[in-house]
Amino acid sequence: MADDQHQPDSDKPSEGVAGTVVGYLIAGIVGWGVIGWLVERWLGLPKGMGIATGMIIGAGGAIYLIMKRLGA
Amino acid sequence: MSGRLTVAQELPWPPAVSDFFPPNIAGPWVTKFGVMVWLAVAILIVFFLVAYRKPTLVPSRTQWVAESVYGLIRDGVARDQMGDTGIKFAPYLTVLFSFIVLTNLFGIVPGLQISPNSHIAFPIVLAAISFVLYIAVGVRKHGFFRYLKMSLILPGVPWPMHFLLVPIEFLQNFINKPVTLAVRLFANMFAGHLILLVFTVGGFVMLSSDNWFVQASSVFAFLMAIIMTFFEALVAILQAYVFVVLTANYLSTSLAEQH
Amino acid sequence: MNVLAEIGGSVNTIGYGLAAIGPALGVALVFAAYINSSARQPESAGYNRTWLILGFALIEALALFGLVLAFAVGG
Repeated sequence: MADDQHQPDSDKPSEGVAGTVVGYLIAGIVGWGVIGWLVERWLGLPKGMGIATGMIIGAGGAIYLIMKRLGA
Repeated sequence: MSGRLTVAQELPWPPAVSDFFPPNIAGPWVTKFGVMVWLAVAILIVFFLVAYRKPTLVPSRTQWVAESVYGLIRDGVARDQMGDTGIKFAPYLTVLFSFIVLTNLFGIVPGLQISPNSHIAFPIVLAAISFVLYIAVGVRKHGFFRYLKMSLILPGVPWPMHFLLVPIEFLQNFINKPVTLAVRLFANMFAGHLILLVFTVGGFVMLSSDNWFVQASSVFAFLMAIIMTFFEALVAILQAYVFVVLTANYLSTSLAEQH
Repeated sequence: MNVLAEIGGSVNTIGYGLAAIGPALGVALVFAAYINSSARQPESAGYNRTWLILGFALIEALALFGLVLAFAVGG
């Protein structure tokens, strides 16, 4: 997977890396938080559990994606 | 000397956000922002036409300025991010850069002291054009489903994880990118305008107080306003450059070959 | 039960402000360690970058939990 178009993070961490990390984290947490909230409304779980589970799963997925894309 | 410290006299105090927007010029259809955008477009068209009226091999001065603007974007941005296939996007990127620089610099030109980009509508339109462009380029090159597959599905991942990862990738790619493009430009211009207003209006407010110490220290407010004006010029050019570099980066991601 | 004292307004922002202290210190420690190690041994900078990104992402996730919850929980 040697696409050399991702020049900013070639040999040193630069600002593109920070933007990517925070972007993936916010997308994961907010996205899966919303999905967890919808599941909670649909299944009638105790209040707040759906959002919390969704956000933790989303953060885990976001960190997995960050390591896949930016890790060595 | 009275026992009170009067800070503000005869000014709308405290100012609301709606006090900062310029008034309409001719009905609700022609506002100051509209006139400024037309002025920027007119300046750009006239400048580039005049610079290329009789092109010579050894350029005259206007032609040299126009050529160096185009060369900066074509070599520094398009070719750097996208390789040689990027040269056909260089005209769009040059016009985008010049337009954003002009409208940002209107924030410090006396008389027009606001940038149209400090109203959220204009960066939304610019980011929407770039967004549609890079999606259209990707879809035209790879076909619609293969483009979605290429941008949403990461290779080398066990397939049950994809249910977890696809919403995150979708949000990051298709919502995060245009929204951050627009909001970055808008927030920088809006914050810069507010800082200039705080120092300038604050200086006048301090000057119209009735305590000599407060009046004397309004010099610092005006000095900070001058320093922030220079800083605002730097931020204007930098934000235009960042917008164009990120657009070129997203285009290069769309044009990238399959993994 | 008599109410003796009460905090009005948005308490979410107080919670977020408290929640942002820990991750700020954590990220500072991670980056300080990376800068120190890269200065002592520049060849290790490429190897350590993986751990830098991982550490930053994990800590920033906690900070962003606080930020999202400050807006999401009704207040």
